Amino acid sequence: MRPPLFILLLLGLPLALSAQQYTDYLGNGHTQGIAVRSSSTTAAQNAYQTINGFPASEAYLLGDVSRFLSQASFGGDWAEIERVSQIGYEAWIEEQLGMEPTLVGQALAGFKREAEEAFLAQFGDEDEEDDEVEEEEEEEEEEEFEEFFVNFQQFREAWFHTAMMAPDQLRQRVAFALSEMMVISDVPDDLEDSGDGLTNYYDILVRHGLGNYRDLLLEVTLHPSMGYYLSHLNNPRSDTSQNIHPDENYAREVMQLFSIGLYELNQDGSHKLDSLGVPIPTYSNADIKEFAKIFTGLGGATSPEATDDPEDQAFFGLDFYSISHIDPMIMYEDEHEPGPKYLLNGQLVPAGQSGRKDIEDAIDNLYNHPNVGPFMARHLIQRLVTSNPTPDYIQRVASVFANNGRGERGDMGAVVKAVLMDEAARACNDREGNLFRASLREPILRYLHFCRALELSLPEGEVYFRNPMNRLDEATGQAPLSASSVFNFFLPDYQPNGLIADLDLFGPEFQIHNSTTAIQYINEVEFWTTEVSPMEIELEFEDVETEEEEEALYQAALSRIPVLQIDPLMLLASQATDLLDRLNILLVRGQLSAASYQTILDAIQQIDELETRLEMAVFLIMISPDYNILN
Amino acid sequence: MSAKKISRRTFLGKASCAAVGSVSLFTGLLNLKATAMLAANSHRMHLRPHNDYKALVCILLAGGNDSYNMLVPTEAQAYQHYRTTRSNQALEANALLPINPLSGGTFGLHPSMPEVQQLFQQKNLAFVSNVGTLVERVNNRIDYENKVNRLPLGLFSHADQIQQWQTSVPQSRSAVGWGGKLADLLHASNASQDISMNISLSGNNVFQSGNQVVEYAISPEGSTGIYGYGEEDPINQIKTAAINNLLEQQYQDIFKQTYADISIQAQKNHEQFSSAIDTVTVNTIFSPNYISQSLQMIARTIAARNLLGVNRQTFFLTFGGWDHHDELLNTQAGMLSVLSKGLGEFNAAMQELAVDQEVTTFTISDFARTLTSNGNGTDHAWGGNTLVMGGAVNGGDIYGTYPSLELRQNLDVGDGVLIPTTSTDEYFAELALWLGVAPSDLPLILPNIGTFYSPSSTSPPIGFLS
Repeated sequence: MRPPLFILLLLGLPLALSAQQYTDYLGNGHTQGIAVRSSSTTAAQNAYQTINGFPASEAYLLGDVSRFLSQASFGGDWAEIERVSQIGYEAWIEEQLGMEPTLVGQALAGFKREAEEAFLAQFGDEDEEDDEVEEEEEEEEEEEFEEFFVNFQQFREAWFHTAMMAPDQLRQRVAFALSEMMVISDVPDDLEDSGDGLTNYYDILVRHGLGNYRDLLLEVTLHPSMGYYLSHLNNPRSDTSQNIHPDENYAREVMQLFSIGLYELNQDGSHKLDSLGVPIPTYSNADIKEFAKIFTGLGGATSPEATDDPEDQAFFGLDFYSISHIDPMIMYEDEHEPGPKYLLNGQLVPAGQSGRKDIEDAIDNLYNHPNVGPFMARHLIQRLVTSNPTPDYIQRVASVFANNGRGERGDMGAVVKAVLMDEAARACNDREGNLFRASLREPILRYLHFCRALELSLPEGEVYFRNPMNRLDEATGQAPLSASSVFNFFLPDYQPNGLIADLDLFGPEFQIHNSTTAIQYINEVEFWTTEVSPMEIELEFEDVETEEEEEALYQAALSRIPVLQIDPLMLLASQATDLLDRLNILLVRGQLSAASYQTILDAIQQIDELETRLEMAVFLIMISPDYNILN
Repeated sequence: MSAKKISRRTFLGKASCAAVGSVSLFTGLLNLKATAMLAANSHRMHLRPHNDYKALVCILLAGGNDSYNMLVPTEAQAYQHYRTTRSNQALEANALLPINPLSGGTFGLHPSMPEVQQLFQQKNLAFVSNVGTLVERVNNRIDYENKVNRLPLGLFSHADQIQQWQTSVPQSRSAVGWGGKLADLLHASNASQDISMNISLSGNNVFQSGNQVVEYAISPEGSTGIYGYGEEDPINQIKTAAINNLLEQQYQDIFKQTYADISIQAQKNHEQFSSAIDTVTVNTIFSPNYISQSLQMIARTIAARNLLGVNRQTFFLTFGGWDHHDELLNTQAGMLSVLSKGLGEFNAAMQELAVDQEVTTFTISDFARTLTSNGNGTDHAWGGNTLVMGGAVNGGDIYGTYPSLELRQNLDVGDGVLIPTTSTDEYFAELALWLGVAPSDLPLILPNIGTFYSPSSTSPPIGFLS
């Protein structure tokens, strides 16, 4: 299926044009009887869409594909935009759903292998003699590398590498969206120190993000990183003699944030109201106390690094630092609250069943709550498409959550497809100024998009991007798994003061767009566009005596740094309009307004040096409102 | 952008010298906003501008400070109740730092707060006890259980309680805070309207968001500007003109307009703010942590008050990480120590600048925590203890009513969750009146105040400020 074209005859009859045949397009005198309906603000901007060798229709189509890829992936490069324009959105989604997950853990394992090889290269193979003692030493060294220490920096590097390289982009994009709902964060010390714990948790979101929601929720619940973050790891049964009650933290957040929310919802996401017109809470504090009992008794599994020595085996109460960060928590039945427990909607968990069964029952209880569909629908739509989905849109997606068409509830792949293929996400006319179809792009998504669209590439011989994104984090407050609290970087109901709040609309991402971060973002774009590489790389040369020597070392170092592939853009740069038309599609999804287009064109036409011209064009585009608001 | 180049400096001066785009003809929304604000305030234009200076500094201890381990009763029976109830989360009596409130009784401060102990003894600091979110007073547990009174929405939930501590409107969810509404009223009394009177060290926040006024966000290093903006080399001239055009043009889409407004206003504010801040010095030494450094930047901003042309300001600083479900004893000790040091340093700086009478600092937090333990931490509760500091504070005392910490007493609704006996409305009304809000205007910023305090009363809501 080919995505629809949006060329209309003046008479209003739709005319499906083939983008490849160029039978009829604006430019080259083909100006009669064709109107272009644009997704940009203003009329009278048709002309520039014809330049650059594309017929207007194709330019428009490619812009829309670019928009689709901005919703469904970390951003497409030119080749991917062209490819998707050939195969169509539905085929692309199906292709994506069929792909094997690319785990962030794969990159992390690769880092460890590289470190090990580097270590052995330096110390290991000095002596080739078949000496038993030496072999033992080598084994010891290798063992050391099994314990290669990784912290949040290596997680971020592995995350960035995966986001850049993984072919299963839809899955990766959804995993990131879920990491902003089922939040853990590297802010507490112990998680900051556990690159394995962060990575392995994130990979739950990768593996199940397009799978079934129940599997997702159960694995999230049992992961030791979550157990540490929301403190149901080592949560003992109550002891009334000591005034000790079960920890309520996870019980509350799993309901409020991960599954059903605070209020009973209609399937269109609106609040159900009682007879007085007041929203109906989904749970009471008494319910939380019941769920808190369910989540008692979980402790860590034995660390993979532990020996078989009985003293090294995990036990209830063993701290996070010493347990396995990759195996699910296990149930220590003696520490699990005995007796019956009540779940939501009056469901009773009988006394005497295993703690693990209690948890499965509680997860089922939440999974089957009618709120989950509209709750998840709103979250995913907000993350992928728009801050203010209409009730109809939520309802359509929620109905797919309830039933994927084959009788299955909670099929996240089908839900994500429904989010992206919905007319509210795909319709291309009347987007600009449509209150229900706009969102501010998240800073980290802007960065990924920039790096992918401009084809940041590894130099010959390098296998991994190693980019911890600390600059970006400092400038914008965003890095994967690094929110300041379980409430994510921003709240779904945040209302920026002024025009948006006046209309009682939401703009979650504006919560991290203030007078500091707005400017720091602009300065980051300056860095991305004017430095050798948009990655943070520090070069230090020691013992350099002459400038020539330094230059040689510098050139050698440059050959090992990932850089943007700007050659295709440089070929266009001599014609400022060609360049701008290409960037408009590649980055702005064809949505650059006429006024912004003219502003940028005026600026770059004053610059003769082509690379500087390119830098200026990309800089201005990346900071423009047209780029940063996804319509 | 590519490996071919060595530094962008190489390219300076290579741009053609064609005419630089003129400044945008678009007026931008800034002026519209200012007009709207003037209109909104026109009915109180008779207010004479303040000639003096006063500021409030709000420190949000985000996550729910376990404030019954910050301020502990030490009289024999009261301590015994504390000890029994708190079980393995109780602090040892002999480790507490003793204080003797003017109004009687003996208490102990958390051992990691020696600076606060000293400030209290010097009467520069007071506590307000068992403050919390209330729609109306709740007399006891029975009334609570029988739902006699309207209760705050989402009690015990971080998101709701943290918001309500900033709005003081616990019966509804709103993103407009009382500091913002206060600024809507008082902003016009500042000599200069250019930079918001609400300055945040922690980005966007509810407390400082009004109907017209929003916060100006800075960092501990001060304000941030666009690199190269306005510089004279040709590239930066081109860049500056284009930025102005992009960010000052009118957009039909309100999301684009909002993005543009925030960005360009930030640049304009930076130019004014940084030039003022760069001229002042504060000699007091601040610790190198984020909280102290933020307080230092607040002190510098206050030092620059005349250059900035302001008579009334609020400052907002979030100190996060108090949600001690786990590892309460260890973690809270370190954080209270940071808080205590920061308060000591800030008070010294205010004295250095001779504005200690003009600046009042106060803490807020989502809630206190359950008095009982969950094993090695505590959970979400309700009423808690807050700190107020400054030369205008009637220090050395505990205000409100310090509750009994015995379980199953009248105020305990279970697990040592205590019904607040002082409302956030009373707490904030005292601060607002001190800053200069007219008593008759109190309901405009604290709509529930009439439930707890009569604005026409001749006595203050609580009495901790003179």
